[in-house]
Amino acid sequence: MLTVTPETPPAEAGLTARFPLPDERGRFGTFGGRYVPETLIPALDELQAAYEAARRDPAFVNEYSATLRDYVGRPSLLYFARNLTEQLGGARVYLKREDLNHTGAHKINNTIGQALVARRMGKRRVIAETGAGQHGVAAATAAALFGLECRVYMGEEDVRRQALNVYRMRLLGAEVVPVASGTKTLKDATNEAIRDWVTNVRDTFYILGSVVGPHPYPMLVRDFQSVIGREVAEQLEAVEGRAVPDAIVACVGGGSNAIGIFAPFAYLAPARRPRLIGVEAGGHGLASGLHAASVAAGKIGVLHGSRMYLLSDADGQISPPHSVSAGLDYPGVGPEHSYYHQQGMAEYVPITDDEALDAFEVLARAEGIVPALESAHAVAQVLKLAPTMGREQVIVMNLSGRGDKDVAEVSRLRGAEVGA
Amino acid sequence: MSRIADAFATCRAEGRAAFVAFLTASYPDDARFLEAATAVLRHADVLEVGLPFSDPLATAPSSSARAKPPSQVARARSGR
Repeated sequence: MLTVTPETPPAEAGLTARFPLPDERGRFGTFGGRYVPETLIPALDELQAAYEAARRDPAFVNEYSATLRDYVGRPSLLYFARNLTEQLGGARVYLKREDLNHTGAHKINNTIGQALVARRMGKRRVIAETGAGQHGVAAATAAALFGLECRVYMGEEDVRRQALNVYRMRLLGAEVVPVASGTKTLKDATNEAIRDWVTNVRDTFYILGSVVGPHPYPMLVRDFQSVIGREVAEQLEAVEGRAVPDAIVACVGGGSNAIGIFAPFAYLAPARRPRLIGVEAGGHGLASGLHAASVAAGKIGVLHGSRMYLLSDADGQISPPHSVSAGLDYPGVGPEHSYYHQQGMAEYVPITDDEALDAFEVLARAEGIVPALESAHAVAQVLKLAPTMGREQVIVMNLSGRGDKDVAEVSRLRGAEVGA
Repeated sequence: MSRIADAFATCRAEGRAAFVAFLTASYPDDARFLEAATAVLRHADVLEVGLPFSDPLATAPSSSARAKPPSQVARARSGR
């Protein structure tokens, strides 16, 4: 088995490759781990063993790759944004088009992988948590494809805000359970999904949607999403004659799309490593307290079984996050991102709601592409970054999802402004 | 840990189930929590004390719902 080293070509760092981290205890430095009730430890051990066996099994790897190719539509395009590049007058901007995947976001890369592991383990029932509904839809889709029973937990507030995705999940045969506890959003849905898993651990597989949670989830989700970064290396080599760009930009909620595009490049020697820029939801601005910038404005703590940067108050209680984008509305950032930040391997910057809304419109008009509001945060950072770089330099931005789901919300926000 | 093991061993020797009580720390305030704990310990073999947290894992939703009052109490104490 290939081990990723500072010299490994990024394209080779795949499902069968072993990244340097996490260690055998599931730690990324001091982050990650397994802060869960004892009842879940055997289930996590069982999952880890099943996954380790699966990724060494060529039949599993082939079925995963074939499903990504034939069903998800991979590889996703690496698109040179000519108009945007000319408009910004700096670095050449490429968009990794995860929005063109089946179901319209990167989330499906992970749910297909985990559903295949679930089937391999003989689990007939899968559960998932969802915020905006993108992961829930991707989980329900994988469950439909592989004939698994599926239940999705979703905060009551998100059920109200994302009614269309609730209907999509039900159409796909999933049961959607509204969660009324706490802030009635993603973190509460996650609590409820973990509670279900503790209760039904024998026949149930928990399809976790981001690079958070107890080990081995951050590793599992990272490995399945790293197909994004591997493809970037191959595609960029073909069009630019270089596998490694100067900068990679991606939005970060829990951090799965960002890890997917960062990880194959993150462990390169510092001299070869591109700038990796994670864009957090700055909400109404960090000073307002209404944001989801867990790295920029958070501290280290434990949430959902993992040690990481998170938003909490003086008593150690989790603070409610805020973002115009439901997918970034999570009060923590995965342990591998926490490690990258601490080690200086990646940078994390906030983008406000207003900047993201502006970028949403800029990309639509410049390229005829409507990004998800989550991805619009990354677009906003590219608008700032590209003009500061040379014309021979290259930025790759992860366009993690399409914006159809956000059109109604944006028109409401913008319409009110125009009408005022 | 040995005091917990001893409590269960005693119950087993006496041929009965252990009474494990649960109270939330500092609820509804420090004084009344200590009063309740003292009273409960006259009857319970083991007292489990829960620290209120906004996002508990694998415990009943009631521990989460309870997180609010003590945290407000804590705020009141620290003068915020």
